[in-house]
Amino acid sequence: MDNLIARTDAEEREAGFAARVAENQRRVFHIAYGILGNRADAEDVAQETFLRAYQKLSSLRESEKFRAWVNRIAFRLALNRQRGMRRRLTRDTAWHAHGTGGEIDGLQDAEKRVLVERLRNEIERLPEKLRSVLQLSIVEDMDATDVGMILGIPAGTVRSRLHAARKLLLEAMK
Amino acid sequence: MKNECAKWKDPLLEAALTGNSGRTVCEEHMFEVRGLHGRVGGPAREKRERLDTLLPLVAQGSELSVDFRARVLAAAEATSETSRRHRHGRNGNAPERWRPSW
Repeated sequence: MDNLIARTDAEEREAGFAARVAENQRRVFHIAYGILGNRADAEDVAQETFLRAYQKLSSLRESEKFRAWVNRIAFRLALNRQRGMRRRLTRDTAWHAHGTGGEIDGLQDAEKRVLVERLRNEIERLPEKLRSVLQLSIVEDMDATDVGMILGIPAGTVRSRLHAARKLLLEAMK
Repeated sequence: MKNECAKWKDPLLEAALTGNSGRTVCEEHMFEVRGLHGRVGGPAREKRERLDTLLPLVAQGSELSVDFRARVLAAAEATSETSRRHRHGRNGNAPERWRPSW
């Protein structure tokens, strides 16, 4: 009997988790993609995000906070992976003097790919505070409050940093 | 552009960059002087529009694979299965082959 109850609980939990993955997967992937600019890495980060969330699901007391919670996990994991990639790149370029060779997938238009790549490089040059706000704000379905919850800053600060970041980007666009 | 227009160049550029549409003194000036609007505001507005078009592509240039959810759920199931086995082992429920026959 206990086994049966335990199995039903587990099934309910898994069904609930599946629904949450469906609701959040696109945004979580885009958070990672905005930072990493690579589909394969972004998918890995998105998958790891949900696995971590699944393992720690019981520690989340308020279920309605799931959205903010996974957003934060995805952001942290993507940043960690990006740091690792940068370290590897520095190590590799010490031996092979070639460019970053960043890949933009999903864009058919060659000219647009170049422009997005250039823009991505400009974003990389922004001060970290502005960069994180911008990278999160450009994700569809993320407003200033969502971004503020991830970064632990008020929505007003998000807006002013976003404004400053856009201004710097516009100045850099020749 | 007239000589006295030079002092308006920066404020106009700023207004165009930020998308501030409020009717300011400098905006009045811009419309008074023929051609100034196009020369200063136009390119900046174009840049802003280009940025607005490109920025979403930085995050949304790609989409998830169709089987993403299935993979996540399978991985989650595998994780819970592993931890369940781990838990049973730790609770002293030995695997079948170790259970004494009496």
